[in-house]
Amino acid sequence: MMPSISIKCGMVWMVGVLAVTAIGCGGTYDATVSGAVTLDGNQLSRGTVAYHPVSGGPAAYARIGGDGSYSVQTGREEGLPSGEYEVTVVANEPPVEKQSNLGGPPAPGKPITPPWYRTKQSSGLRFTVEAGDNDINLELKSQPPAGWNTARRP
Amino acid sequence: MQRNSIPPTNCLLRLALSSARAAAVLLSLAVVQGCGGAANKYDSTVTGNVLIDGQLVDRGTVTFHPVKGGAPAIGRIRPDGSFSLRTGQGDLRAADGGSVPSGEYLITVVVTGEPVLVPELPDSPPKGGVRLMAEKYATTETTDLRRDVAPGPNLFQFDLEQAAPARPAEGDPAESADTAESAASAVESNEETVPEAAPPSKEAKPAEATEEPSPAPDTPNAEGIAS
Repeated sequence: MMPSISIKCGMVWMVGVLAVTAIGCGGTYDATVSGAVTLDGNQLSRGTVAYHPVSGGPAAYARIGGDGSYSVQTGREEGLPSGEYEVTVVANEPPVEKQSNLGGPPAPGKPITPPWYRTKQSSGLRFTVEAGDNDINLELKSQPPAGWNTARRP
Repeated sequence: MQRNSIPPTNCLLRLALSSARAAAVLLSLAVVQGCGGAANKYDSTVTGNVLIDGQLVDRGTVTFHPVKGGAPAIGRIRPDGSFSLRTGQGDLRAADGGSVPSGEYLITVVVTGEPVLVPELPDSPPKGGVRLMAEKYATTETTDLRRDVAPGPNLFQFDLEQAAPARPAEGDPAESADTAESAASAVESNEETVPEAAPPSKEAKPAEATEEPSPAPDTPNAEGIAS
């Protein structure tokens, strides 16, 4: 009898604390997104994924890991608000360091991902992020989308 | 010990008895989360991401300079490309514990590459990496990043232009200068301030050559050397 009540009391306590913590400053997001990034079926091992909310607001970003996986965060916090997103992917080769250039910045690495994946207007990647955990694999193609002008430089 | 003596029949009673402690705990939670009192002028928290040309950066520093003056707030860029600001030392226990006063800020960002080991000096610390962002972001005079920090949590993302790629080599400008000289000597008179370039072009343009070279070498350099 006595232990069960004190457990209940403990739970009331915890629920109260959790409620305050969750309400707190509204810092936590209701959804997470992770997945894998491939280009023509091959894993990418570097680069950045960005989730731009269609309704506007700050984007959520993820660094693509060495195993091709990504997991987005908003600012310093894991996750993002659920909703509709346009996704961009940018990956470049690591910059080539030249010994002869003293102090000068290295030339940027060659792009790995095709240019149309750099902007949300042209990436063609649009997803609905549901509340909770989302598994979204980004399967990029090196074939330009219909209407892509290869002469155009973004 | 005192709690054990109270019959644990009523949860609410126990909660009421420990309400003082509860209030203290909840208050401290709120403070740790950065919700601070309204009287606190450090009423904002700032986190965000730094990218160059669409890619998250690895290392560097973001500095928020209050437009009205005051202490700048600084955030080190973490390996995941994110940063959070703190003024002074902030709260070192919590990664996002730092807070800043709300208001208008000019933002400078320095993004650096990997630190470079100096082979000639194996015991010395590595040299700082090269700057990867466009140089304009480095100073408050040249930066075009300006943000309004609102009370409460703020999220800012900076997608920067990358640094202009380094010039190919030191030998090239000289060669191109030689070819440019022959072409320019007919057009520009500025070449005549350079001693080596002067003799051939003087013959071509004696009138301008006598007027221009005399003030140019004398004015700034003479004072510096004399003193």
